[in-house]
Amino acid sequence: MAADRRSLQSMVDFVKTEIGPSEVYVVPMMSYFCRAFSLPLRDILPLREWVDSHDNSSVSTLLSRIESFALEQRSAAKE
Amino acid sequence: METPQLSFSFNHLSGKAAIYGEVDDEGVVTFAVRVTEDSPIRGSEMFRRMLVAFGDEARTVRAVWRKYREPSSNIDRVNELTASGTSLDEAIQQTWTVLQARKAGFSTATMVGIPEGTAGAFSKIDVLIER
Repeated sequence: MAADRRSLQSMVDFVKTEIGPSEVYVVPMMSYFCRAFSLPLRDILPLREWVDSHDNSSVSTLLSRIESFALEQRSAAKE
Repeated sequence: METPQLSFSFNHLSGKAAIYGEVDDEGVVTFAVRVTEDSPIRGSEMFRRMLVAFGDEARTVRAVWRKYREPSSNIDRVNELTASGTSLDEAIQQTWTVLQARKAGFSTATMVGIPEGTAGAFSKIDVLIER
């Protein structure tokens, strides 16, 4: 999804569906993002507030990390 | 690729409680925990289980507190205490995470970086809790 330039919201929605019904979905969602993008939790943690605020400035570092990951994926796909 | 040394994940089947934590190669634990008011398991129990699982690999707990719309028990406690005159450093000692970490043998809690906000209205605080 990141390689397809999908938005953070669409990725969050996808992971929420994967997790299933949960009132505390944000915690397993962060675990999911850590594994999906090979990032440590400290980089993913701002997502905790973003799901309420949708303030992209709070996740700017995370978004750039995801973009870097996506670039790597696209480059690998071309090789 | 950045990967943690160890990770711990606990998701209660009720969907009312979850914790996820990682220890990095310097022994720093970063974690996120959520519980609903009617959760069948307490956050303190999940936190304890996580630290037991990490064992001696865990040397420092990194607490990252942010306030937005949702309640944040740590920052809400800090704001409650600082609003009535308690110093920020003292208020930090009386937060949920610091008290739970202390039970697990982490004795020294120190604020790192510059907090955002003022007494009674902090919105961003980072704390390291060391053995």
